[in-house]
This record gives sequence, structure tokens and C-alpha cells, in this order.
Amino acid sequence: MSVEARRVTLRQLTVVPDGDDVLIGDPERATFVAVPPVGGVVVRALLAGRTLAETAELAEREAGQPVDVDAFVQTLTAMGFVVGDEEVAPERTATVQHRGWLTGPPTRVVRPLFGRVAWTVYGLAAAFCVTVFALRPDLFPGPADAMVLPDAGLSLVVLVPLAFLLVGVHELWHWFAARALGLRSRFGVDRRLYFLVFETDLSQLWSVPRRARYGPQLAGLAIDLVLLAVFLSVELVWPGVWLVPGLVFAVVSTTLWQCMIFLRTDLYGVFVTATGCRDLWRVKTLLLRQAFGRLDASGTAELAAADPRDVRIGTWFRWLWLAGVAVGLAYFAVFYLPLLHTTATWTVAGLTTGTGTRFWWTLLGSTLLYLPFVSVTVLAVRERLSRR
Amino acid sequence: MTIEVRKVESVKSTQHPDS
Repeated sequence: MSVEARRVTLRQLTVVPDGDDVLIGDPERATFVAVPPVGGVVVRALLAGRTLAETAELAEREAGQPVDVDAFVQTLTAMGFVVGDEEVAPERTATVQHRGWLTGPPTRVVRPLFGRVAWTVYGLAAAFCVTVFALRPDLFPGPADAMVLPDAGLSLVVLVPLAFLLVGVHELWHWFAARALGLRSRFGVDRRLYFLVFETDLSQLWSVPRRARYGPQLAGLAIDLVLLAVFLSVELVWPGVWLVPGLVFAVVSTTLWQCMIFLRTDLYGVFVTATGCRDLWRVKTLLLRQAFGRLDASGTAELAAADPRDVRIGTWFRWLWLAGVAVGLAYFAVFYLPLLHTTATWTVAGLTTGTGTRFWWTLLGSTLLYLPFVSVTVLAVRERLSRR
Repeated sequence: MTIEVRKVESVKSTQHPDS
């Protein structure tokens, strides 16, 4: 076979125009790249079964000059975009994560949860919550609301499982919203600074147009605000219902946590989508190293090849990140460590002098309290080990 | 001309169980 008649069989890649670029990628592997429009022309031609010679001709017509299609195909091969006989597993994006994709509920079942009517309800719920807090600032929760029982330990035993349940609903909504677009996702556990987080990998969102990427990233907050609106309504109609202020505290504190985009929260993803960034998290790290003169040769080369928009936004985002992390660590030292010390005293007292029920309550409460802390430490150690 | 290829970052949605 002559070189001109050679074909390249690509995997089932998606091709989506995005701003001045085209995003191509393999949803199965969760690997996506941004290329100029001519790259999109090449991939579409190869997907349609055209030969390399025909493809090069189409590319030249698009670019107005000869295009090095061979080098591009080599890059695609290195990215794993060309059909081979290797096993395909998605790249890992969280420290603990299951390997395959979740299929989950059929698209037609979950689609009504993310249609126009549903988003109107989510928007009204958000407006309702803001209005209630504006008119009744006394309903805005404080740490005291977490004391749903007179005893701090018992309050934990009640509230922590509920907080985990709320997180489950939040992540479930991300998953359902991705399913409504026919995409698959997967769950994992990771950490942000010293926060234990549950994580849904929504990387397949790069295979849909930008407009469609907002919904699944905002879905978790949307359902949180619906729940908050329900809890606040209960507080307005029947003040003093047990447990409700604790639930309001749990939802409001996680919502405020989501606003810390320097922790790579849901709203960070929305920010990246809105600004059209490509690899901001990595570019931010490189720019920060550069600012402190700690950028090596490979980092310098990587930064030189980075998307100009990532560099422009990363130039200020790096300082937001640094300030956020500094404040976060200071908060940890000033509030969290003393809290751990106080509760350690409670734990020791309960376990050494407590008898019968008190001993078991203390053991259960302590486990719930320290479990996230221990988990984060284990995750951090695992990250370190896997980097070696 | 050569075609520039830039990797894009993964999309992660997270929630932190408050305690």
C-alpha cells in the first residue's frame, strides 16, 4: 500500500468547537485536548475514513498552507486516540476512585430533573433562600446550631451521618445531570487541603458544547438550595422543630465552602467553563513556581506552550490560590486544632471514666469526628507514595 | 504548519461533609 493511501483508525473521538479552538477527546478514557480548527478538520476527516493524503489536502485547504498531518497523527497516537489492542481504562483523577464508568439511570428518566422547569425551580429556591436570610438574618445559622443535643458528642453522632447523607444527595445530582446529557461519570474520594471530599469525575463534559457544561457542574448546589429552601420554610412555619437548624447549618456551611474556588470546588469548574480556560490548575502551579524562581527547564517549556488565556487568568488566580491556602491553613491552626484538642479531652474522659452507654456514645462520636481527619492524612500519604 | 495540541484538565465536582 502506498503511503498516500494509508489510513489511521481513530477511536470513537468527540469533536466539539469551543471558542477559537476545537476540543477533541476520548470520553471512554476521559482524555481531552484543545486544538486549532484545522486539527478538528483532520480528526473529522480521519473519523470519516479518509486517507492521510486526502486528509492532508483538506487540512491545507482549511489552513491555507501545508499542514504536518503526520506529526499530528503521531501526537494523537501518543495520546491513545488511535485504535490499538491495549486495554482501555479511564485515567485516574482522584486519589481513591473506582476504575470504570458508572452507567446509571437512563437519560429519559433523569432528563426532567434538569429541564427548563427544573432549573426554574432551582433558581426560585436560590432566590427564596437569599430573600429569607435578607429579611430574617436571625435565621442565618452559626456553629451553635450544630449543637442539636445538649452534649457535643451526641450532636456529632446525630449530625455527621446527616451531613454525609446531604453530600450523597449533592453528588448524586451531579451524576444524574451528567446522565441527562447521556454522559457517564464516576465517584471518588479525595482531599482539598485538610478537607475530606467526595468527588464526581465529570470530565466527559468536554465532549459537549460549553453551554451544556454548566448544568451538571451546578446541579449539586441546585439540589442543596432546594433542600435549604425546604428547611428554611419549616423554620418559618414551625419555629423550633428539632434538628432543622442543624441541617440549615450543614447546608449553608457547605455552600459557603463551595465558594472557595481556590480549593477546586464546583464553582471553580463553573469559573473555568465561563472563562474558557483549558488547564488553569496546572498553569497556576507553574506560574507560582515561576514567581518564586522555582521553575525548572521542563516547567518553563510547559509554560511556554500553555494556552495564553490560562496564563492571563493564572497570573492573578495564582495569588488568589496562595492567599486562600494561607487563610485556610491559618483557620486550621486557630480553630480546628484547638477544637481537636477539646474533643480529645472529651474522648479521653469518656473512654477512661465512662461506663456503659456513655463509653459507647463516646467511642461512636469520636470515630465520626476523627474519621475525616484520619482519612485525609491517609489520602495525603497515599498521594506522596504514588508520586514516587 | 504544525498543529498545536493542548491537554485540558479534568472536571471534578466535589462536596465536603461538614463536621
